[in-house]
Amino acid sequence: MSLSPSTSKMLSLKSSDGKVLEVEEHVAVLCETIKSLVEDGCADSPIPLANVDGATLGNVMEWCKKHADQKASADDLEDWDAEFVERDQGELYHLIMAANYLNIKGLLDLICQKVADMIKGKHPEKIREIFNIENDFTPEQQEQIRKDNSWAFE
Amino acid sequence: MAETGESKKLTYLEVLVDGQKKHGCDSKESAVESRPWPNLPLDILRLILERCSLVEQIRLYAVCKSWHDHAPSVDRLPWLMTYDWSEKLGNYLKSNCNFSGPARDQTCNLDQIIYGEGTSDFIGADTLALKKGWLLLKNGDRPFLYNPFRRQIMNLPSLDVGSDHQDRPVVRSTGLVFAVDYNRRVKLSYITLSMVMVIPRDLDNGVR
Repeated sequence: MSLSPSTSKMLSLKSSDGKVLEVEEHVAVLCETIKSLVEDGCADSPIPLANVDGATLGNVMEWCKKHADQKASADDLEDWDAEFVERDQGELYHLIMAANYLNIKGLLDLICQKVADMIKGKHPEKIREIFNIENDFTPEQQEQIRKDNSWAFE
Repeated sequence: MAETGESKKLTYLEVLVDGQKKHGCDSKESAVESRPWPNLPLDILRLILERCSLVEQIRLYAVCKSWHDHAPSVDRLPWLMTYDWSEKLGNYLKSNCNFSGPARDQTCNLDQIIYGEGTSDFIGADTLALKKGWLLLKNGDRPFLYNPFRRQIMNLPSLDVGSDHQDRPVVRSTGLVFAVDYNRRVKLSYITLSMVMVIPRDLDNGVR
C-alpha cells in the first residue's frame, strides 16, 4: 500500500491526558512504534499512547509532519529543526521521552544533540541551573569528585 | 475545540497552541516534583554523553548522584599520552598534553597551566614510569611525581644517582622500585605515593 500524502488515511492518536489527535497515516508512521501497529493491523482507533501527554504529542506530530513532507529540502529541514528545538528544558524533557517511547530516531537524535549543545562548555553548577537539577552531593563528595578530575573543572 | 463524548478532538495545531500555554506555566514545577532529568533512562543519557567531549562527560557525571552512578568505573584500557611542556612564565608552566584512547576513538586535548613549586623541573625532564594516573619524572637528579588529572606535583627527595647508570624503574602494584647500579654497589629506591625509601645494598659479589 502506498503511503503518499494524497491517499493517506487518517489515524487517531489518544494521549495520556485523553486528548485525541487526527493525524495522516504517512505522518504518524514516522513513529516506529505506530508503524509496527499499522503494519500488524493493530492500529485500532484511537491508538492509546499512555506515555505521551497531549501537548507533547502535538509537538511530536508537528515535527513528523514537517519531516514527512517530501518537498522540504535538507537545508530547509535543518533550519526548521534548529527553530523547533528552541524550547525550555521541561518541554525538551517531554520530547526526549516521547521520541524514545514512540521510537523516532531522527527526533531523538535532534533533541539529544540540543541537550548536548546546552551542556557544552558549562560547569556542573550551570548545568544544574539550566536543567533544574538539585545538587544532592554532600560537600565532601563534591570535593572528592573535583579533586579527582580537577583538570576537567577549570 | 469541539467536545465529542469524553475525549476532545483536536487537530494537532490546536493541541500545540493549547500545549504551549500549559507548558509555559507548569513545566518547571513538575520538573522539581518528579526530578525528571536525574531520572533520565540510561540509554538516553548515553545518547547525550556520546555527543559530549570527555571533559563535558566528566562534568555531567558531577551534576547529581544518579548521573554520577552511571560514570564508568576505572577504565582499564590504556590511553596514549603525548606532552609538551615548553613555555615557562614565572611560576607557571604552559603544558600541552594530548590523550588519545585508540580503543574509544577519542582524543582529549589538555592545554593547561601548571603552577606551584616544582614547575621549573618539567622542561627537559624524562618520564620514567607511570602508575595509577601518576607520572614519575626526573630532571637531572630531581625526581618528582605529577598527576595531570589532579594537576598535582609531588617533589621527591633527590635519589642522588648518576643518571647514566640508572635503569628503568620496575613498576609494582604497591609502588616503584629503582635498582641503580654504580661502582658495583646497588642502591634500591622504593617509592610509593606516601613514602620514599632508599635502601643501599652492598652487593659487590659481581652482581649486575
